[in-house]
Amino acid sequence: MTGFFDSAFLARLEQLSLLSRRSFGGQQRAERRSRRRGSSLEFADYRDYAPGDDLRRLDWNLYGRLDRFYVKLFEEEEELPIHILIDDSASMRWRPTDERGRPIASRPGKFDLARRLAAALAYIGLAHLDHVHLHWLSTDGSAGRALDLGRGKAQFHRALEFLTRADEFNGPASVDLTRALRRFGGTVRRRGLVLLVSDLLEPTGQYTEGIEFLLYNGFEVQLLHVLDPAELRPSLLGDLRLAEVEGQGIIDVTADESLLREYERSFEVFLASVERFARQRQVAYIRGLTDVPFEDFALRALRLAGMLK
Amino acid sequence: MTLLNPAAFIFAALVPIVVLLYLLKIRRRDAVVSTLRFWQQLATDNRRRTFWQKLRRALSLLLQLFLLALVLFALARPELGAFSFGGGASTVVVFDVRARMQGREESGGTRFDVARTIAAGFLRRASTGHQVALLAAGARPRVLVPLSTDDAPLLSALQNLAADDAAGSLDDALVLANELLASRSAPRRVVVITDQAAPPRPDSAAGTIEWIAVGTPRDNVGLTRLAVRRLATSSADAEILFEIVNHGSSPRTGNVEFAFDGRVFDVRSLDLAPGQRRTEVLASPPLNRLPGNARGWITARWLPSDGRADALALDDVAYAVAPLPRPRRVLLVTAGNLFLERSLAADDSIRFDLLAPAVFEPAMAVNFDAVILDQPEKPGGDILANFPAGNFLFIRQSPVGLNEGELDRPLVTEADVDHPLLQLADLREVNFLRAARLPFDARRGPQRRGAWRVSAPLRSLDSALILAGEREPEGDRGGQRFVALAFGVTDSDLPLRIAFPLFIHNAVQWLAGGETTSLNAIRAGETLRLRPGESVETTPRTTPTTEIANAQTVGGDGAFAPSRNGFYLRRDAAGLEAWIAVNTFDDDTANLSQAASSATFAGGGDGVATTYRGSFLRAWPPWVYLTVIALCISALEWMLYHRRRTE
Repeated sequence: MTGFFDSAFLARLEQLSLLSRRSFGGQQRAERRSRRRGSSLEFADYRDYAPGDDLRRLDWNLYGRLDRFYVKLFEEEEELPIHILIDDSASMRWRPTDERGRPIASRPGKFDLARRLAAALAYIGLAHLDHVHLHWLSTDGSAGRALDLGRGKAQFHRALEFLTRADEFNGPASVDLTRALRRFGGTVRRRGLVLLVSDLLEPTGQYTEGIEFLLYNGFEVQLLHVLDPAELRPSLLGDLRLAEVEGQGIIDVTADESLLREYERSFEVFLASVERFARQRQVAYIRGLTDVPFEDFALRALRLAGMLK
Repeated sequence: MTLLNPAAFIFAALVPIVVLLYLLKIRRRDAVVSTLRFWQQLATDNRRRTFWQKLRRALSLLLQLFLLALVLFALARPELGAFSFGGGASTVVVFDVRARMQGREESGGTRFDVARTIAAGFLRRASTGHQVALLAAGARPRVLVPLSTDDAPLLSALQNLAADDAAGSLDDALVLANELLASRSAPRRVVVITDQAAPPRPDSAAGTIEWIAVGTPRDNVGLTRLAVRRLATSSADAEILFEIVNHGSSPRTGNVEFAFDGRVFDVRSLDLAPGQRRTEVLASPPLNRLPGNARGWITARWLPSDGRADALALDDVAYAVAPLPRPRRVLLVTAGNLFLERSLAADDSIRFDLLAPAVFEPAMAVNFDAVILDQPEKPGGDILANFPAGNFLFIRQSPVGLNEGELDRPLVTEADVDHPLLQLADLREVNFLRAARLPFDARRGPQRRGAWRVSAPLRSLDSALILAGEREPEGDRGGQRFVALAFGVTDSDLPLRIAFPLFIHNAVQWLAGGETTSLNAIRAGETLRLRPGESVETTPRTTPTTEIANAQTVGGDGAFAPSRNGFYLRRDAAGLEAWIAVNTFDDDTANLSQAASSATFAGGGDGVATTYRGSFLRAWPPWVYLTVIALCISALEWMLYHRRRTE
């Protein structure tokens, strides 16, 4: 897992920070503005002096011009609770195969991309003293599937260890996204920014309910949709017996060029519906394909999507 | 329609196997996908089209059964119309390879190419039940492949065939074809493929004659004559005659360019009205001032002003050979005579060899035009009856013998200045020291002695100073001549006179006989019989720079029948080289304006006019087209299957 990044890439990650449209009240001071007034260097406002106020905060220059006492108010900087939720369902671990049934090794799988994304986002949060939590999405709430990293870059090694040992926690299994998100929203006390990394390929096709539950419960959700190009444009031709990696379904299909074009149209409809849902719910959304270079995706695409600055 | 191989339908038993194979269940390939959600949606849509699916499967089966039917039908070898002869049929294909078949059509191809495509269609139909022979009709008909059931040698012979430059008639070919079919049982057929219109009533009693005429009427200008002859007044001058004819329907303007050994020496501008024939004569370059390696090639070339090529390029060029003077070969037998040697050496028309009297044999004379015997006088009798082969100039000797004693300082009293020996050579003032007495009474004029006619063109009173004898050709023996001088060369002041070399020249030329110009022009296809020791190269040359590697020759007692126009090198027994010009020179060949008309003749009656159409469809037997259609359907079925139009 340490081979995910090199030091130069980490240095570039440090210059980024996670964007959140909402302000969540943190327990400790950090680098993120809050609605509360505090003692940071960021000027916020003036108010009339009241007896008992700290005389050090009187604006004497203003008193000289207006002959009235005003107290300078400063913004309070707090930490941001960040929850990184990673879908490790069987569909996320699926790897495309060639015509002879051999896995295509020329590009990483969706699960590898998801783990690297989670690691990079965790590092950015830790570097900016945000409180970062890592979660494997769980339907049944098994122990050890969440990790409270705390704050500071020193915790990054724990994140890497947690992500590397993914198979110990879960392994290829079906995950009901809706139930898992409901469980998460119901058990986590501190509201904050949720970064959901998933392919949204639920056997039931239902992915909106869980996200809406989180939004209703005060979380800000950002959706990182991870897909393989073979899912968008499959190259399967001929007489096929298709088996679903996550469910139990099997169907016989005779695939030709026109059928594949119809498939692509169906998938595009699905993607359009996801984008429409994200736009309507004001959920930041980005789609990541496994054939796109990771550094480009992490440093450029995420900034363009408004998730990083 | 006839099926030549109906037994092929036994393979119809394969139909159930095709159906069985079709009913076998498709083995599907396993594949794991991340989700079936989108595939299920498509599969649902597919099931809605079950009816069309069934139809597609039926279409595939029908295509395959149709494919099998086509293959079976092709194996059965169906034949249509004129080709549907039953077992034992015989066909002789008479293929016109005469020069006119080189005529070019508007499409750019030659009539020969069109005819070859048609002929191939007939030859490919050779089978065990249908024998086919191929006969080429050129200047003379020749059987290329006798009646054969195998089309491979027939097609190979057709492929190697090329149109000749010779003219000719198809009548001999038809006779030969009928002879080939005479011993065959009916049905018999002669197929004539030519560009000539069908004759009114050919001999079709022995079998059907299918006359297929190719080609369309075409304009053509052709050179139909080119000849060179030496003028009687001068051996150095020659004149050229040429004839050109416009067989087109429109007037043509152009030049006829004449070249001598490849170098242009004259150009004649001509305006030719439709159907006009022009014959003109022009002077040849002088023949006496040519380099030693001159070949004497005269080439005439028609160059139209508009640059528009003729339908027949063959007759736009004509070849002729100028009669170059041939050096006379002389054998000088002498112990040493500087005057004679110098005189012979100075004469360009003479090539002489020197020989000592001791080694001379009379039999050597046959290899020379003349033998000069300058040796000590030997008294003897008349040897005219046993005169050796060859022509001789005797000095102080005579074949009629010598009398005793000699003439002392004889005076010339009479000279026959019209005699060829004394032409331009005036010997009347020559001073003689002495002369031998010849047994010939000069006062009696020319005398006949046996087969010989002897005269004395130079006389001293009743004595002959010069005797000239001549014998007419008789049987296998050719004509012979002799000249006898009663005086020695150094016994007079003759060597010091200008008349001496003239007299020697006259003597050699007279002894060698007249200019025996050998045959130097024939028509393509004509036969030239070669004399013993003679040979001719079989490859023609058309330009002086043409080099022929490994030239093949025919020689001996053989015959030479060239089929290509050009210049051919000929060598006689002594190794002397001469050129032969070969041309087509046939008015019928140059006339391509006739419309082709095809007809079928049977039973010796009049022909039924036919139109030979669809040469492409007739080029191959029907089974070939059936196979091609089967392959196309197979490809279509394959494509439909892989595009999932069928299953």
